[in-house]
Amino acid sequence: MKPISIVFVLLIMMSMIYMIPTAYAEEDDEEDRIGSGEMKREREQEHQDEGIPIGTEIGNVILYGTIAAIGASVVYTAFKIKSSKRKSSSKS
Amino acid sequence: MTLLSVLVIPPTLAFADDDEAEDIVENLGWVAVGAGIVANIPFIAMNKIRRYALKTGSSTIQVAKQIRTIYKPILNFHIMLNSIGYFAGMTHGLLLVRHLDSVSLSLAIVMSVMMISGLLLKYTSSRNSKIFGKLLHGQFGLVILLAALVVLYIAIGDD
Repeated sequence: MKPISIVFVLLIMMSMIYMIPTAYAEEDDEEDRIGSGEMKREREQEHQDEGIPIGTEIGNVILYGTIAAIGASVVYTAFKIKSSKRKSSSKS
Repeated sequence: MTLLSVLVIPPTLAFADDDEAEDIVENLGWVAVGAGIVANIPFIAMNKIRRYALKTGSSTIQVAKQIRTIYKPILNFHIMLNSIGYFAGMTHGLLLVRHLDSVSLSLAIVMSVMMISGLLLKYTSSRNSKIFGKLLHGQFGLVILLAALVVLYIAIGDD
């Protein structure tokens, strides 16, 4: 097995180990609080705590700006490789 | 390292009370930041000095040669610490997934791109993929973006 495959398998295993117990823990907590209104208040508090939520104007600018920057650097890298190849082939 | 974190962190969080668990998750974030700083600043500085020494000519060429001898161990240190930082950061993000916002999502995307390009650079045998990985991994713009997102994330987290 290649090292890269081992890394990916470990990543998947790790994410599963964290997600499964967290999901069950949340269910138990929610059952205890139904009807008391505590859940609603907690959700509101969580929304207030969030820094720059996804879907807001600034949030979208940051997220799409990051994705655009990554896309641009990938395209720039590919263009750089292609132009250097063209140069070397025209020299020979 | 991954196996160690998988074995150690979930039981620690399960038995810890809420405040302790919060502290552990927060500390994971600081581990990621610290590992990133220690892994990258000396490595980038070393590469810059080596390039400068090679450019300036005969008097400094000895410095470049000396740096070349320690390049491999420093590269391994860079890879090891960055892997620790990446997994610590991702674990921190997974444990705080309920508070996911655009800054943390952007940070996770940039970190993953840097990690994938690093893996591509290290493990691929194709010449084109190696060049692609090298150019993408060394993009100054991406490094600045990553640093800016980390600063923004810490600033938002402190509020």
